Amino acid sequence: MAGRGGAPGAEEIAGIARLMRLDVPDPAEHAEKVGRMVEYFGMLDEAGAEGAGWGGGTARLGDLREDEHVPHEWEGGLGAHVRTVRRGGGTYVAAPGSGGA
Amino acid sequence: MAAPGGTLEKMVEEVRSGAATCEERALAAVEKTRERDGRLRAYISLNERAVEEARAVDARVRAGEDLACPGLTVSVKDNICVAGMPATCASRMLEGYEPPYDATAVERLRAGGAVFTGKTNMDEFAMGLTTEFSAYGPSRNPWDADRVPGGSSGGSAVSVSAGMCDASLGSDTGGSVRNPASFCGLVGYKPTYGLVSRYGLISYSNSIEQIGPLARTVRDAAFVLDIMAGRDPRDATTVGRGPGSMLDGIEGGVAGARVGIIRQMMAGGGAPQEAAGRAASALERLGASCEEVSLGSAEHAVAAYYTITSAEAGSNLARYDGIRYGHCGIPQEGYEFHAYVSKARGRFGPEATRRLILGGFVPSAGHAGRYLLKALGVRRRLAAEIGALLERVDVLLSPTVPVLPFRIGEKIDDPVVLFTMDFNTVAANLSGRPAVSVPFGTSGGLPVGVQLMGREMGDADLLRAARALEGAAGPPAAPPGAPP
Repeated sequence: MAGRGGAPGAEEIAGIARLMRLDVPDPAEHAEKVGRMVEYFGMLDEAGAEGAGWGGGTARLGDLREDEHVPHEWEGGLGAHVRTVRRGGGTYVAAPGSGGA
Repeated sequence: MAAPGGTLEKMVEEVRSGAATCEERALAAVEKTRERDGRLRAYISLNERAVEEARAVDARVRAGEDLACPGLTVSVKDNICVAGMPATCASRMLEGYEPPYDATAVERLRAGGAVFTGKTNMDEFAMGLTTEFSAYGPSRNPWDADRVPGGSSGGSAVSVSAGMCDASLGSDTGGSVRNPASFCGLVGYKPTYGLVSRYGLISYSNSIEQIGPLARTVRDAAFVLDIMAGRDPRDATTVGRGPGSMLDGIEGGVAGARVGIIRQMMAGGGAPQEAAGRAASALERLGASCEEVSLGSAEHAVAAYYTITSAEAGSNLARYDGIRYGHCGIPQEGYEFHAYVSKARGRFGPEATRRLILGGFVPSAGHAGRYLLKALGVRRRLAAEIGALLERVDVLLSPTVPVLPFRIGEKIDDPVVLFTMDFNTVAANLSGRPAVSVPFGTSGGLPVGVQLMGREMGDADLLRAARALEGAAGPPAAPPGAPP
């Protein structure tokens, strides 16, 4: 069910959380504050900026820098660093298929 | 105007001449931190090797190395990477993470002989303006410990204001350097977008945020900025800086300058607005001419800012899955992959979770037209309006924050009231322009900041105007217990 002024209600928040893979056990807990935030964003309707378009800058290809490899001075070399990351240092869970512990 | 010399320039000269050592300076910082941080909670983690690193810088000085800032003690916001020190972004999600590399800004200061004192408290992933959204609890304002220090770089401001270090690096997405600088009686500088590398800044809203210094004086802020600024091959959004130092011509004054006072940001009639009015009068006495100007899109800038930053946060924070990025500590067995990621993201705090929900909502297929696309249109129009104003005037003036520092807990339950605290600061971020908060007196024992905004890549000119304003404000006041 939708909230006030187009704001998402608890049900829509639960749906967004599922899509974004967020653990939100009680969507209603966030509904009030998220609803007030989205209601506030509603003032954009009055801004009359629909035709203003995207505000990002543009650059010609020739103005972009050459892509370059910037090596890090890893202790023991990059291979040692990759092994450390894959092991997770006892803190992190290894990515599936990484061969780490 | 005679050049008074900033305190950091003098300090560096003392170290170079042998009148002081980096070790002495680091020890003084450690002692002050022990004395004051238990109550103020500026830091999330301290650099246990600070004194050892200071001795190493002393050895470089003795060996005749020409260093830019030997013995400068610098704290760093906890979303900026310092090799071997924790970088938690004040979130349980990154608990225990230690980056293996320095951010470029940190790397340049380290090469100059700076000593890093520790990582400072902030709102989780820089989402807030009080530090109350930190997983480690709020920092406290040195001027009144029952009040917020501002944010999100609140711990950085507290560490400098309370005398625990010389300067700090913060990040400014919507005012997160200038707001706490204003609340803690400091100078806070948000550079032109691209002047300082974001390499090693853990992203929240990457089209908007910049690393900036917090310091006690304008010269000190310019001194630190000068070392950090410039093109970086690791950040394609950086731009080359002009020739010369940010300190060149900084004492040149404002005679003949044109100052625009932004009408929409003077509403309210409180102490910050009165301070901004006095600041304009002071600049006129120094030879500037002031006029009221209108920035129509300011009314919608905060809504546009939070819409855009939520959308970018939704993308930037999607990397935290507890597998490739982020701490989880949950055994893998028994979870389907996506369920595991969801469980891991339960470590985000409530405000970060809300922003992520917004970040999924505002750019989604059914809602982008009503929210994100309109916000991007406001951003474009705002940037054009500011560009046009800065053809008529040299700098734009306003209060930095519409209100004085408020009590911890006073506004935390009302997100829209918190949003409006950013009313005066987000315009510089959305348009990429440089802006600075300068302390301009006190009201009821609390500091007040005045903001100046300048032209893109006009950072040196903006710093000159800020230095003139600072001179007109008189000697900087210090909070109770801070060193003179």
